[in-house]
Amino acid sequence: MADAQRIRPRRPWVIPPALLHLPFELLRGTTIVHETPNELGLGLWLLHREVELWAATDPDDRPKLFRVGRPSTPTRFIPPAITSSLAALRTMLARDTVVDGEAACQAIARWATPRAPATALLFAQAGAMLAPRIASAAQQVAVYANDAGYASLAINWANRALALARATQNWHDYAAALIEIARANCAAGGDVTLARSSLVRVLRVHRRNGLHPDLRARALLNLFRLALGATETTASTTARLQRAALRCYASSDRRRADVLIALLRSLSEVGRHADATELMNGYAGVLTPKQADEVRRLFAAPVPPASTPRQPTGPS
Amino acid sequence: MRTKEPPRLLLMTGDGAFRTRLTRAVARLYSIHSVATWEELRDAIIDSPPNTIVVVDSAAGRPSGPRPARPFTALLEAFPSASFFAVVQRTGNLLKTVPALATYGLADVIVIGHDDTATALRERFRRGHGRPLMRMLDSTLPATLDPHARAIVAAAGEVVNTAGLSADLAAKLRTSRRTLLRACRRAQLPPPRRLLAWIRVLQAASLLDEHGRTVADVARACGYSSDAALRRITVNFVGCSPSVMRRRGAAEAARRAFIAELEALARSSTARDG
Repeated sequence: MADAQRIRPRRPWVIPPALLHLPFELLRGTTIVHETPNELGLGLWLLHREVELWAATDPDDRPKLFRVGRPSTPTRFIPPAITSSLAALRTMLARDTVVDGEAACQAIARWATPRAPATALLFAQAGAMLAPRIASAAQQVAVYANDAGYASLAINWANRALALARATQNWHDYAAALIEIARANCAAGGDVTLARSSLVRVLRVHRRNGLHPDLRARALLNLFRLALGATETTASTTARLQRAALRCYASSDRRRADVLIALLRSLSEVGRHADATELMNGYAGVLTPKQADEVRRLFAAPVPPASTPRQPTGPS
Repeated sequence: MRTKEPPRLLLMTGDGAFRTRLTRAVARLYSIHSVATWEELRDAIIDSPPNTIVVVDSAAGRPSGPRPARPFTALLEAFPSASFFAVVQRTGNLLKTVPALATYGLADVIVIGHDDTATALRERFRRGHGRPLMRMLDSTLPATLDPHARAIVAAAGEVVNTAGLSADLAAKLRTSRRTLLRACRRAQLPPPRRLLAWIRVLQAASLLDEHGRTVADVARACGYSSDAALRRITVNFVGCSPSVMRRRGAAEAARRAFIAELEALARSSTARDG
């Protein structure tokens, strides 16, 4: 709750209201049962309903919200990864004790991410409702909304995260929210100019506040992808961006190899094999033998011809 | 203009204990009308304003099985503007009942034994109240609409549902009326008063498409003083009378007119900025 305590009360920050409804959902939360059609899914649906209701209820009324001894979430099918999170949420609902419900919701969202993206988004939203003043919770909703393909929802939650982060001067979450705005704007029908300006703002915030190099690397990689997709980009611009992305980490840092692979993948996606080969030769020592094999496999895969470059698939 | 009467709650359930619990919980907030048959419920919905809550035991009139009773689904299909709450039991069938209910556009579900305390019922009704209007607005707004604008429209929908005015919208968004006016202009939306009027027109148009309601019923339900008042506003906003709108598909006609106004605002904003 450190963020909430640091909010300066005299500043008239307006936090944008959150959009909660998923566009396709007729009955709130039932996507959970569709994505996990067994007793676990039903239990998660009931739990999600209860957590949202608890978060929306006035704190004084919360002890009277649920019956004592009501049937709890089924214990069958529960994966070990979320056992403790479910137990934490059940404790929060039953005894109204101080439990980090937001962290428990985030843990369920992380568990659900690969197989059930809408479940992940719904639990991330529930977590953000439990901690309405925490910028990172709102920013995480934007991440899951982007992963699930809801650009409008992602922009709404990222704007919320921006306002919260600015109020608490949490520049890390501020920059991360800007990256999510850029990702959402790279989706179909998005505003590429706004995406680019958001990424440039990330670089500026990074420079002023000395943030983690990961943020700078992500912003530069995304700018590089946007530059590859733009017709007016010069070769010197892309070269400058790729050099800057690689310089985010020291030559001994293994994350430099990750950046190099991401750059090579982007070049390969738009069919610029000659540039990719030149780049790989220039930084051959950065890759481990295993990574070098991965890159070779990347080039062996069929790619579209260079004359019809694909639009970038969006920042990651 | 509409007066701020307590919203109506139509209740159809054979569970006496639940009826007593619900009545105790929300009697001060809603005007509760118990109905016994599907026909009675249908007539009561036609006579009720669009912010009415309808609470139905999903097992009513159904021998067994997960799917809701046919008369219930017929009502859900006939009156998409009403906020329906299905009451379900926490049984083994719930796993099949929930996906079946999810296809009908319910406002929410009340699970007996889980969330049927007085506080939970009040909170569920507060949250689910007006969800059909929000769903209608979601489907009306263009996908490319700025998320700020979407958030303002969502808040305006909630304000219309409680018969609020532009001052209530500003309060809901925790801003001043002047700032809200500027925010609407920046988001390429009509000014707050006109936005609220538009949402009421869209709501009236969706009611006009529902079978069994006369124009006078719709005008009364939406809080217009008479059918002439509804006619004036539809001619002003959509360009035709309610009966002409109904022939053309009222909801679609209103939606097109609203989108056209949003596009015109976007064009004038671009011209002003550029």
